[in-house]
Order: sequence, then structure tokens, then C-alpha cells
Amino acid sequence: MASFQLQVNGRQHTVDVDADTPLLWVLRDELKLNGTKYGCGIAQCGACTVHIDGMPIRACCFPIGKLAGKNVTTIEGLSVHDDHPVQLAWQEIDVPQCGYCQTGQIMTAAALLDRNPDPSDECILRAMKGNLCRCGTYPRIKNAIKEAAQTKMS
Amino acid sequence: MRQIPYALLCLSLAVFVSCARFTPEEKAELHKGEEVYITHCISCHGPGGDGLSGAYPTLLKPQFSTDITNNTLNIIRHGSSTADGMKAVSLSDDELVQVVNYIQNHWGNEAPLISQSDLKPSQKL
Repeated sequence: MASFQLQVNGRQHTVDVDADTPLLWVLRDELKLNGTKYGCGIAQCGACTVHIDGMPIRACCFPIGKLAGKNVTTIEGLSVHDDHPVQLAWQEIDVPQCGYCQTGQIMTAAALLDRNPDPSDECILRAMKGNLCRCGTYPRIKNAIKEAAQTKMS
Repeated sequence: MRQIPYALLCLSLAVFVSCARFTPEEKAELHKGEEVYITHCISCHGPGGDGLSGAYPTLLKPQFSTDITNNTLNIIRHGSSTADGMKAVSLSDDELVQVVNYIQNHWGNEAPLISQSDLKPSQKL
């Protein structure tokens, strides 16, 4: 066990965990930020996606010992009032079915729009391919990303 | 004083040569490769391709041989041979070529671009 400092959603935290503890379990078990979900544990499904320095990263495979100096954003910190354009579009289109994968989907979509404000259908499919949804909400996810892109640009 | 303009000239030449290496079409393909990398690879190998020491290997190499390229294609397509190693990534042939070209021509890496015709039967979908 060792002590690690990390910056999550703009706040500094100190946790006592093993260096190889995945960020996911620090977020969920230590910081009680349960919006980030456990899916596969091998970075294959995208349910645990968070932003590290703005990039979409699978928290299940990112060891806490490698996080020094980096800023983590989880679904809880994406916006202050749950009003990020992607979150609003998700509500507008009524995207989720069971909802389990959706926080990861939203984090990946938000990161996509940050680096490409007006993505084509091909870009959206390419960027979202690593986020699986067993309910098959993919068409609504694509529509919501296009809606959020329009909102961000207007 | 004379060293400063010379350094600037060298830097300008380096930037020019680096930009001139690829046609606009090749740059577009490399950009697609970057998106594939962000979607499937960045979590472990990092934004800088330097991995996480002790956990995930670096993708930065002084040079790339055909063997290294084939090894990269095989690992992405079929996964690592070690139990704790990388899992296979589900990519189309297009995406596989794009991401390998991106990896091998970014962060200072340099290698000849490959195409789908370079894929062995076992590396194709």
C-alpha cells in the first residue's frame, strides 16, 4: 500500500492503495464515484471510460500508480448541472435502455466532440466502436451525438 | 549569432520534410488511424505511444523492420501469446492498416506505409 494523490473532477484526493490498483476501483470504492461502471475489466467494452487529460481512457486497466500529474474527469464531473450538450442530447433522444453502458458512451462521445466538433457518421462509428451496448442503442447514440454537435456549434 | 539562423533553417527544413513525407490522401488515412488508436489503443499505450513502464509496452522504436510490423499486425489481430498480454482487437482490414501506419509514423516513428495487400491471409478478416 502507498499513498497517491490524484485530481478528479477538479478536486484533489489522497488515497491509500496498491500502485497497480486500477483507477476504476479507486473511483468506485475509495472516492464513491459510482457513475463509472465495471464491464469487462480488460478494456474491451468501454463501460468504464473516463477522461484523462481530455482523452477517453478505460479506467479498468489504468493503474493508479501511473496517474501522477494527470487530470481525471468522470461522468460526475462532465458538467456542473448535468447540462453538457451530450448529456442534454442523451435526454432529448432518450438514448438509454438499461443504461449500464451509457456513462461510458457519454464520456467517449464528449471526448469525440472536443476533438471533432462536427463528426461525420463514419467518424462517429469509428470513435464509438470501442463502446459496446448489449441493448443495441447504437442508432440513438449516433443521433444524440449529431444533436449534441449541432447544439455545440449553434 | 550566426548559429541562430542556422538552427532555424534546420528546424524549418525538418518540419518541411516531415510534412512533405505524405500526400494529402495518406495524411487523411493516417488521421483515420489516429482515431482508431484513440478508440482502441490509447488506454494502455498512452497519448504519447510510450506505454506505461512495467505495465504496457512502448510503441516508440528507432526503426521498424518487416518482422516488427508483422508482429504488430499479428498481436492486434490475434492478441498476444502470453496469458496476461494484449487481447485481440476487433478491427476491419482497413482499420488495421490505418492504425499500424499511424503507430509507425507518429511520435517520431518512421516506417514505409503498408497497404491491405501487405496483409498475410492470417492477418485479414
